[in-house]
Amino acid sequence: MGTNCVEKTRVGCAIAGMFTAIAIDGVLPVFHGGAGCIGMAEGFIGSANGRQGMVDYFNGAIPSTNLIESDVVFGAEKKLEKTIRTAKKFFDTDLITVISGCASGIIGEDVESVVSNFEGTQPPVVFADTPGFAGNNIFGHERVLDAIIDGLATPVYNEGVEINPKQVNVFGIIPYYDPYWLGTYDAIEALLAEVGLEANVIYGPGKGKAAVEKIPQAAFNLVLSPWWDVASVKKLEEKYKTPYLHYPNFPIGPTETKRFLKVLTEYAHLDEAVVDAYIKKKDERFYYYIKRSIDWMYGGKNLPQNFYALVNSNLAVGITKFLVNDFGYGPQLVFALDEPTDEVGVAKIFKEQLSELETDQEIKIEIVPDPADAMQKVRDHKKLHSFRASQTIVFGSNWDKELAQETGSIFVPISAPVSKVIYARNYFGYDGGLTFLEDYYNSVENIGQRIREKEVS
Amino acid sequence: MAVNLNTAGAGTREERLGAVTGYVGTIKGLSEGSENGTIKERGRCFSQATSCSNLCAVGQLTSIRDVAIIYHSPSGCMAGASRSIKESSKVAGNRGLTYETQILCTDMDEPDTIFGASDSLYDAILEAYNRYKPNAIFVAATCVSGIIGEDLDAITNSAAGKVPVPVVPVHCEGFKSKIWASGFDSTDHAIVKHIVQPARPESERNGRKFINFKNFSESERKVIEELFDKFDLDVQFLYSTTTIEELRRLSEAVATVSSCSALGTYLGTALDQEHGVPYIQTLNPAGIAGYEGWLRQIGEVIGEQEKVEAIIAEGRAQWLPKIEKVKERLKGKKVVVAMGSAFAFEMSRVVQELGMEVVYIMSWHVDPEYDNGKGAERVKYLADTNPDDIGVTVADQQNHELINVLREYKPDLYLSRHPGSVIWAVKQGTSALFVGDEYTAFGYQRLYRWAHTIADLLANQSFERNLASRVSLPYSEWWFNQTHDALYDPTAEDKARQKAEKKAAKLAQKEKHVATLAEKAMIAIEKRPEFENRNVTGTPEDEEAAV
Repeated sequence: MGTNCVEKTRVGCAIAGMFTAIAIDGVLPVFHGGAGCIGMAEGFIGSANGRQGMVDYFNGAIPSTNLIESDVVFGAEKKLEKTIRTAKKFFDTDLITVISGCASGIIGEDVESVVSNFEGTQPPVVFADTPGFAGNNIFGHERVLDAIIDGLATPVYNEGVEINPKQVNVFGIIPYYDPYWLGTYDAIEALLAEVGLEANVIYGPGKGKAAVEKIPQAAFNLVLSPWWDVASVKKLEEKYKTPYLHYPNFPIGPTETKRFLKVLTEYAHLDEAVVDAYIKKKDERFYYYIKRSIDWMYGGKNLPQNFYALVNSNLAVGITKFLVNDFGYGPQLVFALDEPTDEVGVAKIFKEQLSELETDQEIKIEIVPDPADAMQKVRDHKKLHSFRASQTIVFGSNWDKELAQETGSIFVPISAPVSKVIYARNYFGYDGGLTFLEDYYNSVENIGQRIREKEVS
Repeated sequence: MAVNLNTAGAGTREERLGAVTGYVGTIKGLSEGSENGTIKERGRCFSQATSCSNLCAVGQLTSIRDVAIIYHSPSGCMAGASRSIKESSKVAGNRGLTYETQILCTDMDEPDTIFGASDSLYDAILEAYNRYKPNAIFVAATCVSGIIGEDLDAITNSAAGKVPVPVVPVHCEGFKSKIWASGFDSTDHAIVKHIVQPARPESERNGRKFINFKNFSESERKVIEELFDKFDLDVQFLYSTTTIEELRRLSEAVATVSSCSALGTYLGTALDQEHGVPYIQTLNPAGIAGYEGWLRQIGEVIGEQEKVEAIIAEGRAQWLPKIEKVKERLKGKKVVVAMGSAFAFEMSRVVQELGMEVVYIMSWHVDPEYDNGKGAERVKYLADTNPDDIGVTVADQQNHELINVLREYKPDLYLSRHPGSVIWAVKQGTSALFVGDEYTAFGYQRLYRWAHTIADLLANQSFERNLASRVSLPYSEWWFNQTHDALYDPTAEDKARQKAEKKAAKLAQKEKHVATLAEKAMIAIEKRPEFENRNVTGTPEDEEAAV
């Protein structure tokens, strides 16, 4: 690691990938590690992020071996086996996913062999090796997702599987980590239905086992993210020979959603007339609302348009393209703080995406391992460039409230951990663009008084 | 009984206090067992995720102002930091104070777990100082640092020479103790050992005399300050919104009290033992008996008995008639109380004071005695005042046990200090109240207000009913048909009984086997021609020979 310390992190450790299991109906995680680990992960990815609880297995119900000193000395494989065996009796569940923590990893527990003792039993038991020292929650998510697909869908390619030419498995939004995940997946599902496709989303209520089982039948897999889930769909291509469409951005607002729909139309041979009609309808609706608020937008209030973003990769590209291409805003510094695994590859994707910006300003998205460095860069930048006190926005997380205050910026928390209550709202597509603007504009309103005071002083 | 400040850490409550997280019995059994030291840990063959010492230790550290806390761990251990920082800065903000505490992490990765990460920690300590100039740097131990054997004392010692502020190791490895409250003690140990200074002579001090007051949330700060103002004392609340400078002076207090006996035990005892600051251990100041007993003991130690009696008389006259009246609304309601090792019993007492019936108590752990060697008044009080006894389970928030306790006792109300626990009652259609505020029943007025809160809650169950009809619990029918303690390891008596039963069964089997053999032998003998004419009814000697 390049740094000796990190702070104000925007990622959890690998065990927080457990929330991917929680997001799939009927999948029960069983944890092999310390007693407090799940509580720690929950503090970051659940309650401090969109105020999300776990629907079926709320904090407290998840079986855990709660390793103590004697386990660390003598090993705890028997304890794990007993816990799994009891959990099978305890819960009505479709699949058990064993998740391992640091303690199990360091003392070298052979979890694989414990799990293999349950081969052929119902419900099936799978294993995701996720010690916290091995990676962050996105790494953990990938491992958990792969294990669940192995456990519920057929583990090998079946020549005779019937492909549904309309079915599209949708990936690229990490459940719980992105607090808007459910609303986003619902919105994508609705959009795909409008253009003649059937989305297959495995997360959220009413999906679960049946949706995971259907994965091999898809015509193609769709990823809407610069890099999240890309490794997983590549594996699915190997396993089930399912091709994938990687759209390396999370589309927000008219310009980018239209661009995405054009790419999708070509890739999936959609009916152009249908897609164009949809674009026209949604575009008009979007601008109806903008027209309705244009008085307010220009009427007397000086809305800041220069922004800093300290967010995840999806939003880094998504909001930058939206605010620049649709609204002419000026990004100052944009950071992706979700620790992309393939830094070089992702940096290339960022560069390509930003080459489509309608501005002569040179903009880049920086990947920074320690968020404190990114925050310092924002402070330095603000000092160096003397915008008027009220002229910047900080799009970030809970961590950036003070940074916004220090730099006289409007604070809009949008990326994990973000502690406001989030239900079905989301930033995807045309309607998502409006929601995003609501969040921004409402933040301006809230501190309007202070902005005026600052201008006076 | 004493605490040992010469060791690196506080040790665990299991070792120091004989604390347990597994017990099934009654309040009388628990009280007697605590007194004669016979409470033994009962293991389980199944457990669910709970909490750990590190969470409790760092939770306390985070509330101190303007320090740096470094997790020596992979980044996941600091995942909850944004929540703690937010809470603590809110509490400081309410007092109009700034709050600059920072949380850092050595972000250990896989090679670190093999080769160690002492250098990273050393650098992180210097980096923390350079970035923020904190007034102290605390290094929190974790499972990973503990298992790979990082020498926190050596590293903090060598880094301490490079920065002008205390660098303090806090030994709160999650895997060391089953009891997360051990983490409170880790922090107290670190503070008394590394921060608190010997008391200065009175002539060198300025300001009023003060009392140390250990608590969680300080939500009644104003009321408590006004109360102690009557005794001409300032209140040093701990640890929220304190500064390192204030902590250095804890040795100069007139006494230490706490809102919770399980929270205050280590700090109170350590300050008493090392610096002669008397520790006032009482029932928690909740409800009438708790509040009055607490006040009276404080009065005794600081020599203000008269004022205390006046406060009590005035409070009684003003509030008791009102409390009597609201009790009519609560009469006969059945309550299950599930909380930490002090509050479980303290709040059960308060529930009874309000005229409700405590049908079962769950305690997340139990300390049979405290660090000053004194027994636990809270359990004894309940045992003495409840001739009919009450069922008790000690379980570290084991959700499966809670579910079956609620199904078995079907209370009107479930009270817990842990929000994740409360929802399981509501999901089953039972009204529940989250008693997150430790001052919920502090003094007469809060008790009165709380009684109304409960009565109002019980007056309308629409949400509980609506939710329960839409929730299916994840547990199987099999578990619902078990008793809540079905998965405990057998006790010594159980084991002895099982062994005796097994032995008896074996003996019976053997006898049966022998009898069968004898019968077979007899038949064979009867079939032999030379015996055909013999009388088959053998003599007693014959029978013995056959056996």
